[in-house]
Amino acid sequence: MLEIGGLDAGYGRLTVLHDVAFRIGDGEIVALVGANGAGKTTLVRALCGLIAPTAGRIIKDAFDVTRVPTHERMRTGIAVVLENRRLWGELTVRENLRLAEVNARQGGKVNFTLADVTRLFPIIAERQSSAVELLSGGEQQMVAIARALLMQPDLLIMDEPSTGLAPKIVKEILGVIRGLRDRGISLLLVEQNVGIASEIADRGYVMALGRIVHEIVPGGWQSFLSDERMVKAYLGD
Amino acid sequence: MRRPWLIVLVVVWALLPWVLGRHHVDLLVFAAIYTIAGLGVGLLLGHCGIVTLAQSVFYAMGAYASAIITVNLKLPASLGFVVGMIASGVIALALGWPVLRLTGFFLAVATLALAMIANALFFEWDWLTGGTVGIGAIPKLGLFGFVLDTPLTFYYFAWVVAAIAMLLVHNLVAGRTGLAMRGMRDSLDAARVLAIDVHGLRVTIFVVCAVLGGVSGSLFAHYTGYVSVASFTIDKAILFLLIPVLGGAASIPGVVVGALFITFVPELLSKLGDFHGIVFGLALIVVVIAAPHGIVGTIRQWRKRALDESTATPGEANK
Repeated sequence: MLEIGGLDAGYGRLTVLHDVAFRIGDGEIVALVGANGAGKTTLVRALCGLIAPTAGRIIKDAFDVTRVPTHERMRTGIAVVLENRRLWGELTVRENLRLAEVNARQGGKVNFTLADVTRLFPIIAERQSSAVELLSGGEQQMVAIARALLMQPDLLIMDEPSTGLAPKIVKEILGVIRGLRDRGISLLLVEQNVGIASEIADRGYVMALGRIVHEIVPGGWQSFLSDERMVKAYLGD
Repeated sequence: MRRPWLIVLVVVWALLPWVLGRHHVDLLVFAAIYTIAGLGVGLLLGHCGIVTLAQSVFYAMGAYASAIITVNLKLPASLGFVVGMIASGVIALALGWPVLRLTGFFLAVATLALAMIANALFFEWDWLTGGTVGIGAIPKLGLFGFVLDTPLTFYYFAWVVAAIAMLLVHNLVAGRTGLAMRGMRDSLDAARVLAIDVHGLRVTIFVVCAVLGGVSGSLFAHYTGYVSVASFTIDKAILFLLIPVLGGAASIPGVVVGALFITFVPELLSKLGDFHGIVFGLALIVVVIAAPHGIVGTIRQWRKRALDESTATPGEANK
């Protein structure tokens, strides 16, 4: 699905990511965990093409997208829920979703309709004519996920979807995310909260100071979480 | 009819030149011409967040195209309009593609540079443009065998063209392009990850703006019958930017109000004699401070606030 190798990226002369390599298989849920400032969001931005890598490769389905501009890269089946959601606050829920619909990937294997995302998040039907800025944080997160799904991705990247949300809402959203696998969607979950990540991810990577420092194998979450020294060193709590 | 006020507006518009003196009809014709150019600048400013000071370039290209085609080449005026629009569009594409990689102040300064360079070229290439002497005796426009040789007839023609331009811009903004533009203006990253070709869209709108500038310039050439480099200075570029800034950049009526403002207010102030330039400058400052969203934008905000207060639903806004 996605393979990254030897990736260096940053802002101007500042290199944030150093030799980052990992892969996501078809239908996998992979978590990327790390403390604040570990470079997680920078990695997400590089994956989307919002910043240009200075070295390395990003391969999507055997197709090298390293230099492909964002708008074309998204049509290879990548969708992203950016940090802070980046919804259009003044536009309505429906308009936000409409922008995804008209620009969605054509001919991919995933096919999400408005009815599908409304079934996942009933709030979309209830609030469809409201300006997004009037919605609660949890509702906004749901609209952001729905908007990403309407891009018809087979790889969904989510940057900190749980930040600032009540545990009950997080649980609801995680339930939906878990179900996406059955629709043929692979998932990269970028999380500071390792508890949440361990709940739904098959595997994981730990990031610190812009490098992948540890890999969590399938079934390995428990042993990672119980290794207090490692958790403290890499995640800072 | 959904909008009764529109009928009232059209009736007032049709009767207006009969009650006004020739001089004021003249100003209204210019307001129509400036509205067309201002619509393009408003699209860029209000919907894409791009400040352009290059509209005078395309206004000049439309004017010169019409002048050269009808006077030097003795070809029909309609061809002048077409050539002016195509030339403006092509040049906008060629200049916009590299220049629109810039953003904010840098982009504004780059467009200012384009306007200055173009003005210098219009001056230097006097074999083509006539330089400071200009090109005169541009024929009056004819329409269905009817010659538009009075301010009154040109008034109707120019405002119909302006109305068509407004309709086209309205449809562009109301459709998916408009939605994409708003998305791009409000969050560039969000637009990019929704597979919107941000650069392509900016260039497209720049071209649309330029074509409107070209049409406006052609109308100007045929109305005044004379074009010279003096009409296409930096002042004109600033004037075109002022139109959406004063009226309200994202609003089509706002552009009309802005165009009326820049044609009528200096005229009214000219009675003050030598001070009128200073007073006009002060008037601009007052409008920009009192109505930061433009005259129409600010009126809309008042109305919205009044509506919100009467139908307030507390406790809805939270994060």
